[in-house]
Amino acid sequence: MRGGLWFGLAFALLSVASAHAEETIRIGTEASDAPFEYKDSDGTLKGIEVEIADTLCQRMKVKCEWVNEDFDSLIPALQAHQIDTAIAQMSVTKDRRTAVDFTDIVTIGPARWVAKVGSGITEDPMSLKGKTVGVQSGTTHERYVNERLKGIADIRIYQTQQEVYLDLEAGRIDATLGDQTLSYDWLEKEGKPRFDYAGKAVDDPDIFGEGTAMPVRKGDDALRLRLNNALAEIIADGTYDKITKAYFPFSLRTLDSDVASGSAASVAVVDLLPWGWQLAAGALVTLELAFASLAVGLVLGIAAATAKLSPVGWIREPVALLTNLIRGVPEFLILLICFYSLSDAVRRMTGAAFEVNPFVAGVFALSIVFGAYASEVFRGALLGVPKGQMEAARAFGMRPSQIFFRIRLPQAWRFALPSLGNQWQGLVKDTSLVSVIGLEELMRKAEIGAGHLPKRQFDFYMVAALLFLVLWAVSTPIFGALEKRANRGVRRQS
Amino acid sequence: MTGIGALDSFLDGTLISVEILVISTLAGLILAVPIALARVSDWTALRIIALIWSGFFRGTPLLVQLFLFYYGLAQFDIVKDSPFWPVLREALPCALLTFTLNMSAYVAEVVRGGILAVPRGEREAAASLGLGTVKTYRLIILPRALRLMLPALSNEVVLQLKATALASTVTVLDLTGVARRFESKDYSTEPLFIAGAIYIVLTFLIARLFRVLETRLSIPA
Repeated sequence: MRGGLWFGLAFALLSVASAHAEETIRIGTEASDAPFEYKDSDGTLKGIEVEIADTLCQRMKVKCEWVNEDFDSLIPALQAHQIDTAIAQMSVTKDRRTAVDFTDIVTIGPARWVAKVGSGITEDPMSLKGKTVGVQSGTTHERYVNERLKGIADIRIYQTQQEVYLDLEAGRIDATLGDQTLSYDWLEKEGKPRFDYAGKAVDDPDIFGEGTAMPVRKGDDALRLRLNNALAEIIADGTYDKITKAYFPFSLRTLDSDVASGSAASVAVVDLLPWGWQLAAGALVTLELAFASLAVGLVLGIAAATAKLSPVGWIREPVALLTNLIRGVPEFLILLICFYSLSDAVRRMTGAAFEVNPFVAGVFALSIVFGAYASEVFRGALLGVPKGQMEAARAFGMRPSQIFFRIRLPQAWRFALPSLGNQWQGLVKDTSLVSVIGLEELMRKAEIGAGHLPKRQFDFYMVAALLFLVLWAVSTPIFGALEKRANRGVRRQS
Repeated sequence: MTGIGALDSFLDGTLISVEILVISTLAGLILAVPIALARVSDWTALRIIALIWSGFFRGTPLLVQLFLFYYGLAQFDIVKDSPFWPVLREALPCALLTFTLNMSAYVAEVVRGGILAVPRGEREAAASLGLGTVKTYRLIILPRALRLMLPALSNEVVLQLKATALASTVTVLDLTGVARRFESKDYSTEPLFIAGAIYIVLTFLIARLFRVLETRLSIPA
């Protein structure tokens, strides 16, 4: 579907109403937790839990669709019907049980500190006095440090566990609390021999719960029971162990806290070419997002400008107020609000199932921001068209709509173009914000790459920056040509 | 999200946002003057350096710049061993640095516009009084440019306020950061709307502040 998105509006709307013909289960995950769920250099989703969930789907004879987003938006996405379940090492806790229902336990992975070798940090909270610790947002580890280490350690909250590891390596934090299993993979690949587990597994069932499971919407017993049956089946016939043993030397079904990590893995030669293609693919998504938002934003901007010029007060005033309010709120915040509350609001209004993916939420947010600014540009431009021309058109017997589309708008377009060029440059840059809600555009691709190859972080972000500069540099002559074309036939006033 | 605790958190977040805004704006403004002077300089090399500076910071997304400075710089041991590292490794100073550099590029364009808008006659009058280049800039052109650029500067400050929301992506608990923490804890979008309302109030206050400044600094006719 993505390939056709070039034409913006129409396709953006189409993807909202994605087909529900065959039974599809949408599974949310956050693909930054190798080896449970991650993307490799050609962009395919891999990992233990990905294999487990795919096997569950086979047994249930349904089609599964993966949705990749930030961990702390999984439960909101579930409640907003954007996904049906999730698998992302989510611990079953009392807090979460108030919001969702859980399947049976999928894995047991105790929490364990990771720190520099010889740091003296153990599972005892007092060993962390005065230290700086990092955890991932929305996890049980965040809850643990907030409740047990408040006033003892300095706490940093991160969007992804990869960012926590990056800062551990950079020396910004002294330790991170994470799943023993997840840390195992990082220690093997990156952390050894400078970093290792610090102390034993942290034993705190009140916070960490019994293990990890898949959440479903409250009351969705049909799906929950089917998942449970399939899970019991693959555990009984040995499929489950076969999948996990390929990754870990220890069982994921027992609480085995004395796992010491094995020897450091050999360093593989890194092939950067696939990452280059990944970034290029990301740049393409960035362009699709920008063009779709431009198309919708222009329509919104022209409509709002016409409304603001309306002689009718109750049309003019609310639109003016709304565009002013939008311009006073950070674009980033607008995006977050759109993503989290859009589907919820529409569903409440229409009662129909409605799902918003990050691309659509991105187009929505970016186009209303673009529209709000463009409405001012168009308002000025529409006012700039001499009154005499409209009177002349009326004298020719043109209808109001004809006057607007044939006389007024084409000329206003000419006045608006230079400002719209600036708006477009801002729009292209703002697309990077959508990376935060999980759309794999240029910025997100750079983040994924930087997470895989922490020694080349700067290079990934620099390449992303340069690609944005290219888009910026290419846009300028295009707008120059557009202005020239719009001004054809206009005599220079001397 | 209930009670005094939440109110306190939002207040703290707002203060951090305002702190980032004020420091990065003032530091950006100071940095912008030499960049603007370089942009209008007669010396080609200086003009090109200023052009690259302004092109990079204005042509790439702030989010990319922030990650480049916060996560990217740690790639280099030379940075990690430098005396600046204790400052750079903290999230808030690192964000402040990025916002300042970014702001300096945008404000430099505004300052340049202001300098070019100073009427030619005043420059000539200064020359005929026998003022040198430095004195002309310090006494005549820059003060005049500052007044001329106030409206444009007010726009930049509002845009900068909105840009500070990105600090939350590198663990800074600014207004947006606080709202996101509550959002992910309570699975409710209400905190995001509250933050939005606070930003609108701040925007309004900035606009008012600049209107007062403009009246104060207006040149009597």
